[in-house]
Amino acid sequence: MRSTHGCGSNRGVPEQIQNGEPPVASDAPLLDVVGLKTHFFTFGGVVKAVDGVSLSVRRGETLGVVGESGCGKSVTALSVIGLVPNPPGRIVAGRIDFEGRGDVLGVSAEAMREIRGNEISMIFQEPMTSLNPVFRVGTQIAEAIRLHRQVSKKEAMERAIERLGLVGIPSPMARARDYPHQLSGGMRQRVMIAMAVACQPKLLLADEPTTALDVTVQAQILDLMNRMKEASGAAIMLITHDMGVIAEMCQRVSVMYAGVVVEHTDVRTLFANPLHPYTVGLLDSIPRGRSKASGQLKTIPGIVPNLLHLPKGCRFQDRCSQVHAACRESEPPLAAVCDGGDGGHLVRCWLHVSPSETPARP
Amino acid sequence: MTGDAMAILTLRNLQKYFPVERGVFSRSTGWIKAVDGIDLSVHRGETLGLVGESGCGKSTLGKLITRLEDATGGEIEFEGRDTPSLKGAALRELRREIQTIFQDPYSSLNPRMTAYDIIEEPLLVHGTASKAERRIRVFELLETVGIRREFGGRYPHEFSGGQRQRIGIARALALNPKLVVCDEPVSALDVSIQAQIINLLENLQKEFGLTYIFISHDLSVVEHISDRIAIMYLGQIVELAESSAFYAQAYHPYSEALLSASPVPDPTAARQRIILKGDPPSPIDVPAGCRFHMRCPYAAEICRADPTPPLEELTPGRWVRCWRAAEIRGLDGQEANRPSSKDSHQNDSP
Repeated sequence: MRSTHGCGSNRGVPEQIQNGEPPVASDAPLLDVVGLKTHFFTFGGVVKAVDGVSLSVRRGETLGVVGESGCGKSVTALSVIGLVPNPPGRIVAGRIDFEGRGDVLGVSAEAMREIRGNEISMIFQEPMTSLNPVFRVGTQIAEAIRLHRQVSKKEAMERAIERLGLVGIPSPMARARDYPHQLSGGMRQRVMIAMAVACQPKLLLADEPTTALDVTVQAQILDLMNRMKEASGAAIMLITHDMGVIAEMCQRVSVMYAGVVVEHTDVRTLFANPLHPYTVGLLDSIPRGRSKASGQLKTIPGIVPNLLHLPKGCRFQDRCSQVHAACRESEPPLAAVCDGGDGGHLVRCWLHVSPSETPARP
Repeated sequence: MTGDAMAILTLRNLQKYFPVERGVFSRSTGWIKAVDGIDLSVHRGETLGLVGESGCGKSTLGKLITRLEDATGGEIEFEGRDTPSLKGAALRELRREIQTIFQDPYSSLNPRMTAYDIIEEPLLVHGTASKAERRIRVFELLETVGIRREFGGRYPHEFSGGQRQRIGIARALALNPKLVVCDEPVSALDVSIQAQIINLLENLQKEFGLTYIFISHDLSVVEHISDRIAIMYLGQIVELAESSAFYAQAYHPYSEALLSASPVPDPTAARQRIILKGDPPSPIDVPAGCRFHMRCPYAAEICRADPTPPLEELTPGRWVRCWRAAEIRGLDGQEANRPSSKDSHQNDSP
């Protein structure tokens, strides 16, 4: 019961689930995002898509970023890899530290290209629109290799074919000559993964990698991602809206709502002892193992606030069942509720933070 | 020739083939067997979950039931009427009684019509109600699905995804249907909104005595809402069972893999995931024998050879299309209850 002693809310975490946590490779984070603000300057006003996000990914771990559409999880990933469409988007504040090398936000476009696809790469949700339809898939992977490695075209193609084999594509030699439309959704996502891991990146940003896939294919791709991660030691930042995928893949989780992280903890604590009312609501609204007879699903009333007109104070106040005066006054900080061994359990909620406490970050 | 007293809808050997066309002159070079021999009864007042992966024919089956598509072969009987032969006024009457809720609330609402007009349209097309009566009815429907009546004048883009789906539901309910085909109604919605819509659908079912066919690929949603569940694979039903029994133990190897593959929101759950090899085969060239044999961990000699196994009643109310299901699940012998043991002849459909 290490992490729940002395905490405001103890829901009785069973002893055994605190053991057997996956070992963490190193204490220094591979990726450290601090106070990131990415805003979009539109005709309607400033959309604060990411409004002060702090999170970190450790070496060899899978960090889950979960939240509903429009909460800023994809924009966070695009900010890290330097692909925010500008205009209208701009990173207006914050720091992104990769491998302790200092802020990558300040580096030149060339230096960013050197990192992108090489040390940090990304898997997108929809493999049909993120592969180029007029090039053979082998060529597209070879291009990624040739951008970052001094190899001949022939050698790059050989490596591309080898990668296709590694991600479980049957007869990779023949498939390398296929165009994206000739492959099924699962095969295309494998090609995306082959391309993303072609240069053995240290960090893989996976933005809803299985959302467009069928359940049995999703299981194959998640299994493949885990095997790739074990083989290469890469860390994964996995963006998803699916709590089931989070539970199966991640060691630590950041929950986002309306542009900020509202809760951060290790995956077992998150499911056993969620503290933020939004996380609680999100977990309660998943239909699971309950038959029709057992009654209605719990819901979170209302909808996500308009990012153009955020309320004063806590962003979740209009949907929260435990809202009180402090929530309407000012926005709570993301603060540690108790010092768990795994970097702590951070919550952005006045119910769990006394207003005097200083903000913490993961 | 009614199969089942409880049935509101009965399908017998229903087929829908689409031609595969190639070349400049669109020569037909083959058939996509989207729906290939479906036998199914839907009971009055129940929710039947229809589950399968993309391309298995579940949406096509929904369209055949609502007569948005015409069947290639087989029979559909809705409340004693043979629906494929209906024409004119009788067809319009059928379309009033069977309504659809579509997946994508963004593309299934006309962007140039207000919410009020969208909900009023079916009343205009089918009804004889006066303008004042329609107005009362539209406001009543808006209230039923939880949208404030003053929002009636807004256009679809002014609503969130969940609210749009509510408008789609109000439109489907406008004509007091008996059967509603829900085609992935919550798949495009966020989890917290999904729960609101599922609750709404359940409340409406209780209030108006609706029968639902709930098409989805999400097994946890189907588990919550369904009384019975049918699993489809490549145009055929491979398993049909009571929901609670199915989730306790799936009998068909494909259903078992599907259940084990869907992620469980519990990090402490120790599970054995069955990871199937390969993708579902294309419905253009369907494999000989059992359609699942190439991906099936239990496949034996009998599975690879023709014919395709029949959909058999293994235990009461539980139909499985697998040669080896009884053996795999340890139901050999006395428990297996073959359809031939029942009094009726071959008309005994699931």
